[in-house]
Amino acid sequence: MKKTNNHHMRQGDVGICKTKSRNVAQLTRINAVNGRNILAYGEAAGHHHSVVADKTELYQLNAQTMLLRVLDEVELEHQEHAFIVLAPGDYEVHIQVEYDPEGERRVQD
Amino acid sequence: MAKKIESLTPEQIAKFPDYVREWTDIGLSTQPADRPAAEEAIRLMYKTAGLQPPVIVWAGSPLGNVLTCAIVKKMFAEVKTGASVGASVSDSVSDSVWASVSNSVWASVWASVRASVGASVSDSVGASVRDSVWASVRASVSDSVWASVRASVRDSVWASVSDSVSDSVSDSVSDSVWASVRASVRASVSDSVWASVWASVRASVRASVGASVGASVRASVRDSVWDSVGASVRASVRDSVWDSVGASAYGQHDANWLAFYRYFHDECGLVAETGKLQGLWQLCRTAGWVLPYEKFCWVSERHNVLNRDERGRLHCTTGPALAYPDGWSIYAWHGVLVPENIIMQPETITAADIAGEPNAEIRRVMLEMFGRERFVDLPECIKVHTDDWGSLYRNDAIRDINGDPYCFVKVLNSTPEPDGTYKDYILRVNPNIKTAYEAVASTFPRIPEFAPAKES
Repeated sequence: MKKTNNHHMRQGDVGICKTKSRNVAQLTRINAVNGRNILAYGEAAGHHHSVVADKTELYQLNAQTMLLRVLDEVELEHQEHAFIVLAPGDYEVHIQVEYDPEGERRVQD
Repeated sequence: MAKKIESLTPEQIAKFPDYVREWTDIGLSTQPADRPAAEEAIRLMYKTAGLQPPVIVWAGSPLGNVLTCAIVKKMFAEVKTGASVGASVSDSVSDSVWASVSNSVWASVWASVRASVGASVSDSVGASVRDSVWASVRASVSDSVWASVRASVRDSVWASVSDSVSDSVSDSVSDSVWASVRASVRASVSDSVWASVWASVRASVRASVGASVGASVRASVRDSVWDSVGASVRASVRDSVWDSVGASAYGQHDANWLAFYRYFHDECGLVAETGKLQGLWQLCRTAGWVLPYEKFCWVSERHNVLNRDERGRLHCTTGPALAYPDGWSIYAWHGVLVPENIIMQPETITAADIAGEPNAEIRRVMLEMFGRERFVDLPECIKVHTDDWGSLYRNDAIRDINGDPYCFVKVLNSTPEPDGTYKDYILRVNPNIKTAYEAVASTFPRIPEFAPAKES
């Protein structure tokens, strides 16, 4: 049996980690696109991991990580993956990488 | 002089995206060249530089431009030095004729434009305005046109004639391109170049040998020149080609900096200040690369195939990422230029090919096209650990750039396919990793002990 952490979720190449409430005052807000906050674009045209923008706020936490603030329960969606329900709260959003001798490389769905 | 423009109105700023869109589309256009308009643009460009209109020679691609030009230059050199024809003929081919195909005039064209346009715009526009247009218009067009396409064309032109293939142009380009260049050379020689040279050759032959033998001499001169081109141009063509690339104007691929000045022309009323760019603007809108010489100007068709990925990099896994009407093609995988067979015959790639490829980027593409599933199924790829998270594989036979073995973790996808089956996905991991869980967790390195309870 896998030993898992209930605060960790994964949808394809996007890893979500529930975190304590963060102060977002100093963070850069990422603008929504067509009413959705895009966590990551996919390899195929038009594919993306996203949530509805009117229930969420998306910020750049640092160069590699975003912060997703969920104001009301929301579904994380992607065209090729089952949705994942996110309860209100703050989440770190990480993009999967793979090893490369010349530096990690982003994985894309 | 009019008052210097120190700021832009909101309406002027709002126009930035229009210029980015319009000039990016121009730079990436796959429409056939508008030949009458392009030829008019070339004549205007020469006139602006104080030069007489040149004979215009069309080629099917930038490679066609530089190869055709190199071959014709070589022919003139042969004629001039008498290597292929008699002394009496060579004497009659004046230095000025040779100069007409050996002296690029791009420097003088460019100098005439740069000196007046650059200075005039600088004088008329404040630094902050210039910077803002530069950043918003030029840089944006540059990312899509210059960085990903023009650079690839340039590198591919070079790759097509360099290093291992430099001694044989005919081996380095596809048969169709070679045939097309050859046909184009013949046609160009007959229709434009030869017509003018032949007049002086014929005059000399007539004078020294007599009119009665003119026809036969003409045929033998042409054939011997052609034979000598075939044999001797190959060794010298590489350097000549590279010089030509540097001496080119890039037509549609100059869209980035031309957009910058077009903005000032259209939106800020700097019409007189940028007037000398009319020829280059029109050329950019209508054709591909241009190779301008004193009396001859080679001009290329635009690419007719252009495939890019979501990030604007050249990319196609089923055919050329970029191709020209003469058949010259560039193959690329997410911006990495690769040999044709990697894309078109991936089934012919072997593990030994991957191991032997010296370029790490190309090696990575070979691995992708070879297939990760196929790679972990190789007999020398050993499954070293399995747990609930997946399986860890290690291939000691194929080493990466650091000499380390290739290691992969194979994970079952959490979302079923439409037919209810589950696909594996395979990620490369650090060769020092010992367990499958450690390998999976390493793909989210900034989440400590990543162990998702929900996956899809």
